[in-house]
Amino acid sequence: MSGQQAGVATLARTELFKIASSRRQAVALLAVLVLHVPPMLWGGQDADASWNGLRSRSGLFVAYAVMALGILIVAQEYRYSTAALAFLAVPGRRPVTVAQSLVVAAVGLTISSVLFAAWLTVGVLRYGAAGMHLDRPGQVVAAWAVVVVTVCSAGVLGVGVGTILRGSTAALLALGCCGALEPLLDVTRFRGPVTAPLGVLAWPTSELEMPSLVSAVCWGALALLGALLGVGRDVPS
Amino acid sequence: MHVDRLAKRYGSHHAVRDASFRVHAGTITGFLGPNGSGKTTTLRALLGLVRPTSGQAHVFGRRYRDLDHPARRVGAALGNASHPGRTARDHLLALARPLGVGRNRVEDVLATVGLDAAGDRVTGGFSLGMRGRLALATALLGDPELLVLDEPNSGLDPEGIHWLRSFLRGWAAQGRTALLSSHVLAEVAQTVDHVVIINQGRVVLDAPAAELGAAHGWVEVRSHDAARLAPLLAAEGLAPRRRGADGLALPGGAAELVGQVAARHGIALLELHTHSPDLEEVFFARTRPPTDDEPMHDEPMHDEPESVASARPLPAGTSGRGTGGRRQR
Repeated sequence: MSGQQAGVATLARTELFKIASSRRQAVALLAVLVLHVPPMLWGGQDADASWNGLRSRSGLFVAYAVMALGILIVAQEYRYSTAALAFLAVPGRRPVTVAQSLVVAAVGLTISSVLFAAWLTVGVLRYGAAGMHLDRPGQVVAAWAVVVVTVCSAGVLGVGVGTILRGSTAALLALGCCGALEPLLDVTRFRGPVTAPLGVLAWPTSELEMPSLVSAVCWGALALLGALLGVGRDVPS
Repeated sequence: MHVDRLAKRYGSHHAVRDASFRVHAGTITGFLGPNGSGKTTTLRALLGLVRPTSGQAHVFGRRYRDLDHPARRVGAALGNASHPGRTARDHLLALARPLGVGRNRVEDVLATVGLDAAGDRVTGGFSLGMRGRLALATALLGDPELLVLDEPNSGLDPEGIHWLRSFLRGWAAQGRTALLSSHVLAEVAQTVDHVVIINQGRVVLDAPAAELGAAHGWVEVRSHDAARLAPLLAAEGLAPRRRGADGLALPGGAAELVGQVAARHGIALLELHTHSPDLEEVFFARTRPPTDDEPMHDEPMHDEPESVASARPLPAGTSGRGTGGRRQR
């Protein structure tokens, strides 16, 4: 039985501090937000297109960015051997993985929520509240929830794959191969770990590919489970 | 700290084989061995980073992972681990949070290792010596009772090495404990109280540094009556080996007894002295692979294949210690 160690909340704050103090990661996350500004300012559409593009605009890019972030924050710990230092403080290790997953999910939630609110606001300003379904708040909340759940699942998947493979190159290569192969079969197209977020977020907001959403959540959960099982492996020098 | 029959195998490669040793409280123990001998694997197994194939490694009587707040009791510096894009201060702050120590402690350890002026520099621009100091700062963060340092001299300049030696002496003077692996033998010799040597995954020596000379040295005797003296010494329980026509070699610590026996039987000694090897000689004697063409300088008087220092037990007051089946000269 493990002795007393830092709790997940403390570790989550630590992971947030690491992202904030690693300037490239912080800048990259800021860039994800800033890159949305030009299309918000200059994109001209009708009300239907604006509503139907809400999910993809606020979540699609973010989902893959957060997936990459999840891979990077774990893989860099191994690359620079700081994983060993983290595990010395928390020999149980699993709380570290849980904290990383929570933080990446929280980052995903924050960015996608900010973008969702921004795109929604732009739509309201251009096409009025009714054009963006504010008179049907259930639809707006559901759209936001789908975006957030998909983005968070993608982030957790990144943490899981990064923990299992312990290297950004290996993880990105593995996911790249998955992304290339998944569209080839009907059973994996928009159901696999890489294309499931695409199946949810690339569709119009008025449509929901439930199998893709379930797949995205399940892949995230499966990757996290694999990470929790695999994080106890030997830490190489 | 107690390592008991520890073994670690990677596939068919045995990184550590049946290693056992102790690190006593209040001592600085040098953990020596050539590259690939199993030092780092042993330290990592001790710290719970590597799962042993068999055996166990305990710190303060428990597995590392079972200690409460282990990083506050055991400080470890395992290589130069830091994110190159993070400042030294942020690196330490990130590690301080899970330990529950505050910013003041971070400033303290930065000052202790002499990096206070470089605290806001990213570690990617640090020299090897600065990274070594940062690694030590990391180990000190939790104000631990025990330090485990893997090659702490690595990359340090002479001033840094001197500083580290002084630091470790001060550490020991506070009654604290340290285990440091190193291949810089001269530095270890000046720093440690106890020596553990590992080679090809096996612990081949575990002895107090102060006893190395006596335990691993040998006595050289020269006398025209060496042939008559040898059986007399053998009768006293020693194991003399012939060295040339008038020379004998005996285990370290036997000089007084040799003198007494020679005086008792009226044998004139031309030369009687104890050769005390330094740590470097012991290290290489223990870790150098045997060579087929190694010259044999002496002829055994008995069926004793070991080196002079590994002879059968000496009489009381002249203790000897084996050197593991190598001829030392």
